[in-house]
Amino acid sequence: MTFPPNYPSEPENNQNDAGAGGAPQNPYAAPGGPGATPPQQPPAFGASAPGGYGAPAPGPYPAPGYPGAAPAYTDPYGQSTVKNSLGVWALVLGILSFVSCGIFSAIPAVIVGNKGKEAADQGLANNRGMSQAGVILGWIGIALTIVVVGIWIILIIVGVSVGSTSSS
Amino acid sequence: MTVSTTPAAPPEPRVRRGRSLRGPLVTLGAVGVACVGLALRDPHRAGSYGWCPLQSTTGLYCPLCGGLRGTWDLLHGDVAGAWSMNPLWVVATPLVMVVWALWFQRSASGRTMPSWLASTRAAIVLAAVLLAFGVLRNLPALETFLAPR
Repeated sequence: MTFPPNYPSEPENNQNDAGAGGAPQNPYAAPGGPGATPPQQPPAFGASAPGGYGAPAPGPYPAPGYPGAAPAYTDPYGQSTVKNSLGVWALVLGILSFVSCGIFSAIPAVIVGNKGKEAADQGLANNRGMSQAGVILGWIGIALTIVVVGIWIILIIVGVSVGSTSSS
Repeated sequence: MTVSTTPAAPPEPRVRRGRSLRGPLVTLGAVGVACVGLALRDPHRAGSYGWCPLQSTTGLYCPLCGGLRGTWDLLHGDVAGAWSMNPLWVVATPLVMVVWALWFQRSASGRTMPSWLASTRAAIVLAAVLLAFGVLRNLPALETFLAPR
């Protein structure tokens, strides 16, 4: 019975100390105190950021596009752009598989593209078409590599047999 | 180290470290095996690794053309020869090594790679550099400098 009157007395004392004297001794003990404005700004800014919409991956992407408001869910289709880089990577790898890298970027294009499609289905990306294009280009690149290697093998077999028959 | 107060904490990072170092070490081993194989079979001989379908059908030099020969030259200490095969690869090799070292260091300390490496901008920059190099080395004026000769 002696404790209940003690509890409401403590915040009153803290508020009186912080408001009247502006004492920096315990600025976090009185969060609602009107006097301690400088130490309140960092917690207020930090508290608003994670409490907004619970963005899954904060990252650097939502910040430049939508600095203040809800970072990840303002897309008109209700999809985030957090994992859009997967689709871009899939498309780049798919194109590079044609231009130069062959199967060494075609297989990653298929893998990354499937991850990008998965992210788009989960609402974490809005460029599902880009991922799909990367997957398709990757499969075409794989098929072309198989065809080319098959042609090589056929040519080598033919060349060896022709060379052996003509020389002997 | 041995007088730690929490006996359950030390084994956990060790397990994670062994797991996380697998990626860089397997990559290093695979690249090492590939380099040994490449050093044993000279790619300068035509057809030693097959024929490039793009080069043999269109006559164009792709951005990676001369990569095997340039790597062979680098493995034999011939930087000038490697530069004449593929200057972009000579420039990119130290960068690749730096990225691998970063990967190893980050894995050893249990951290993830910096996010800009997998960002959209990095993908676009990579594609732009490779495509621009592929176009430039096929221009007749620059072919003597950038194409594998």
